Amino acid sequence: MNRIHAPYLVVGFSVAGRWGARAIRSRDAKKKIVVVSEEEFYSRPLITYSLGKKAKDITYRETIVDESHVDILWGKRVESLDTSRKVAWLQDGTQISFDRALIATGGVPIIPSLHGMDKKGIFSFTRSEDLRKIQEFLRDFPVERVLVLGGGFIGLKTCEAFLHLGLPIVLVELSSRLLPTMLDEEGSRYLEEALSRNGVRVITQDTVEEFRGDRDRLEEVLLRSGEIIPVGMAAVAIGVKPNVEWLRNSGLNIRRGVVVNEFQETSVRGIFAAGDVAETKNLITGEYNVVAIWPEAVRQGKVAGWNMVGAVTSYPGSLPVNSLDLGGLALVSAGIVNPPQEWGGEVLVKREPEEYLKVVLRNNVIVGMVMVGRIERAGLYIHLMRERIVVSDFKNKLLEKNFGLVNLPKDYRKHLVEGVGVEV
Amino acid sequence: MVKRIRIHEEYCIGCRLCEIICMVKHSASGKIIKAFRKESERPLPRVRVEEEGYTSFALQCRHCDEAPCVENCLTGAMHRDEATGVVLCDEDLCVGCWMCVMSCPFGVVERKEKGKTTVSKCDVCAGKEEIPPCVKNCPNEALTYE
Amino acid sequence: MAKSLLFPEFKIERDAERCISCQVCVRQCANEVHSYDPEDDTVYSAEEHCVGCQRCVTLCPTGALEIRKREIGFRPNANWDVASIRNLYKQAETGGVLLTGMGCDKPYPIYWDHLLLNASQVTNPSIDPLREPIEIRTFLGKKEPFLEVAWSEEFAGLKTRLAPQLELSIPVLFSAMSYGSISYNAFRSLVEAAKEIGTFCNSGEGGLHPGFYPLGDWIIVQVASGRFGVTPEYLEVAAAVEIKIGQGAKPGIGGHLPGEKVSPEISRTRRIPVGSDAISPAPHHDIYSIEDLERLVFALKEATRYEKPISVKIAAVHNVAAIASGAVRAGADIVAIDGIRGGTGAAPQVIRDNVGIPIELALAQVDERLRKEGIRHRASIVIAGGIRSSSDVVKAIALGADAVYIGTSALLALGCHLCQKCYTGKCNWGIATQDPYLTKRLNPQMGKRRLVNLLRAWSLEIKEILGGMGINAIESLRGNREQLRAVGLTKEEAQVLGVKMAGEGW
Repeated sequence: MNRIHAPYLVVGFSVAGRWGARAIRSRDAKKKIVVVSEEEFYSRPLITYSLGKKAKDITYRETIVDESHVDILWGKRVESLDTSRKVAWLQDGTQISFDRALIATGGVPIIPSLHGMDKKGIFSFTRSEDLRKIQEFLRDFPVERVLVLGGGFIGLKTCEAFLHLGLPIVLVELSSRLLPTMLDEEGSRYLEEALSRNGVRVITQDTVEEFRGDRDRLEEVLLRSGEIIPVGMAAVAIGVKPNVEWLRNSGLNIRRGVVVNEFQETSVRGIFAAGDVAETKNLITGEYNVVAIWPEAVRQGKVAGWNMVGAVTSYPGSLPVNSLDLGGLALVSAGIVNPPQEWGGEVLVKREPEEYLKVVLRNNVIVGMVMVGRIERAGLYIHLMRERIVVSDFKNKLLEKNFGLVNLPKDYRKHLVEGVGVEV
Repeated sequence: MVKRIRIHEEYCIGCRLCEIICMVKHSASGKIIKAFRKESERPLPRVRVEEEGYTSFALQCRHCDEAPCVENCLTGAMHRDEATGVVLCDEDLCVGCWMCVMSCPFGVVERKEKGKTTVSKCDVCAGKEEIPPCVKNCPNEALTYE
Repeated sequence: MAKSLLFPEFKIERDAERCISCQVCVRQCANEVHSYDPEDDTVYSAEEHCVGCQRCVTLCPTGALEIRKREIGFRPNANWDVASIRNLYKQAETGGVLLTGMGCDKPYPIYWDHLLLNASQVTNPSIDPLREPIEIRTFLGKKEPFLEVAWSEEFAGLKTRLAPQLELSIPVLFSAMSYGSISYNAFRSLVEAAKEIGTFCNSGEGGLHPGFYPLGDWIIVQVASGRFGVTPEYLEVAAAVEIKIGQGAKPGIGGHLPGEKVSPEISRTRRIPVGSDAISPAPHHDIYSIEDLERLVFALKEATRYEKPISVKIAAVHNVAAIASGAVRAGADIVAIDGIRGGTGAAPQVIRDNVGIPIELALAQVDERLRKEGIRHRASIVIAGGIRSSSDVVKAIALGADAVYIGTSALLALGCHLCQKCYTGKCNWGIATQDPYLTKRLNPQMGKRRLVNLLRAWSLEIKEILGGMGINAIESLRGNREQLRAVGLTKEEAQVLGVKMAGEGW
């Protein structure tokens, strides 16, 4: 039996894993880092872009961490983790003992159990092999219409790709509007209008009852409402869940994801988690949840890596931020966009035919934002949100077209501008 | 040490020559009169003068040490040039996901002119100039390169 | 109010081929001459507001603008020149005193341009300033007629107590320009340049902003008829104190800073309430005689423990030599004389252009009078009023000055374009203004650099000239009128100047 000792073990080598390894290397140039990676490295979000031919492929330009300075076990999967003995077993029987470990195994798509799910032409969008399969399918079979199941973020990214391919799309969402967590009602309306303008049929408050086809191939779908729509292909994008099945018996505290504290450390000392697999404290609500987005994977990976080498750094909390560009309509959302009424906060709104801006305040701190149409300077609002800057002095400027650094208090502005950029 | 464009808001006179020169430098011809009068597509200035009351300053990419736009780029199009330390966007790789736009705390990464799916940001004139033209053309040294 | 008969002074030529509607001109003109019309993407100009400051011309990135003096097609008339007609129209419309800024612009003779310098040939060798040291340092203050030396077993040294001196590394100082008439940044440029070069700048009569107290070693402070800002610390921090009796641009006239210009910062500096008018009376109301002047001179000497030179500044008027002599006898360590071309932030045009005499004639007469009376050593002479170049400096020293004050030259170095609108407070170059939008236009680091460059250039040129004359110290040139010759002057003029005609030998 193959035994390896790893001072640092990194499980999963995508965004969080790579940034984690980079952070370890930046503070500890010597000790061995062992990485176990099931997949080759690619940029997962590029799957839809690549399908839509906006990106040539799904490769990421940089390696983030110099691969020659880490020992990578490609194509291997950690089968189980013994947290008390600090040992990980691979599928092939290899045993890796470790001092510190970073769990960064990401997420897996949620596949609903529907009638006819086994028909050919039904795909999800999370792995590089999914992309290859879809491209092959589109090459081999004529598809006249495609159904996208799920009006959430990935569903819409999928729509974006199919729009670029010029395919007629039917988008089915169970709730009453699109992107229900990312947008408010008004924002959803701008989005639905933009989709309609681009020929997308949006069906809300409905879902697929059954995928049908005479032979093994998908030919039509039956919706719960009873409507039958002929489609040659379907994309299931109802969500992603943390990839935690392999950790069920590890003894780690797992709810939806692996629960971590502010140092990205799990319930077991020395074992850390970051990225889509981790359940972290939300920057705004303080509640624990999984915020499966790239920027947080980077931040969490870095914080975990630093803490693994003993450079104590705390993670301020996760902040959901997303951007989309659909049929020429750009859109950014961040934080809490539908504040519960009992918060008693303040909502500032600007509406224009092609533009929508909503800023949600609580105790004069920005806690949420939606920008539709014009997304320039979205980063400034998000920065104010992250830094919890009190905006009372310039609240009346927040909605102005030229709202910028100039409106911030002089000292803070100078601190931002005259330093070496931002400190993370 | 990597040279940076420094901003001195006390001396910005709000003339916006930096914006004009930046547009020209990034135009097709690079000639000021032609760029403004003949070229149908005028590039966005990559430096922007912010003004409020008596305060004004020219702001462009700060080329942050830990640049969120680089970290959050989905493709690696936004990258740091190792030699110069400048943060650049490789337009061929950019897919227009606007992650950088919403990551930049300064709001200086903008979507490019209509119809393009990439972003516009300061490239310090790609090292083609010893002193960036916005700095060189500032009449009051409100921008310096040091 | 009917349409004005006044015609625009300047013509704005905008080259439509070159204008790119970038609106730099629009943003830079405090007189709101240029305006942008988005409807037809064109910049229009209202010439009647143009003061000819050339700010827009300088900043236009395409060189599309040209501003030139408008030629008015009045029937030529030797008596009724355009300026006279214009002034008359203006007064017929306003009924007021015409105000102006900067120095007299009338074509009175400029004697510097009629004086030529000497150089060594054969019989006395010239000196190469690149190889041999040439001293252009000078000291201002009372010099002793003789020195008493003590010589004993215990002590060997000077017994005479020397009067306080100002040490100048170049015989050029920055004239009195108050914070109020010029901006904080302009004043800061002057002080910092003075410090770097090793000379002095003058606070003017508006007091000294506490921000400049740490730089007091390079500042001469003024005590004028309004006594603005004169406090014990003011006298304490300064290098020297100057009693301002008169100013070349407005001899016999007081000053008036309107209340609206008295901002909180100016109020702090002048020690008067915000918004109140600052009126400098025409005379000092406690000085009606040389004896009165003497009392103030000695009061200031007492106040500064006889550690600082006291200067008396007078305007060059007809009886300047006798007045200067009186000032010296009143105890002045330095006599500053300001000629008719001396500048101002605001003065009635009729006074500026018609009262006083050219500084060259005044200097020659003062120097001669003090020599004749045997009191020349008791005070240094600093002259002011239109010094333009290093050659003017050298000629002034040969004519008898110890050093010169430069005001307009310094402002030009800071970017002034001589539009003469200082009194409007809308200086587009950020010099003669307190508008925070405009004062930003003068970056004091640049201002300082430009002033330092100017004085460095002049000092190199002065050394070249001295070397050519075979003189290795500026103090050896002082009053050496044999180094000057007159051209194009009448015998009487040459006589007043005390110089021989060109062509005459030793």
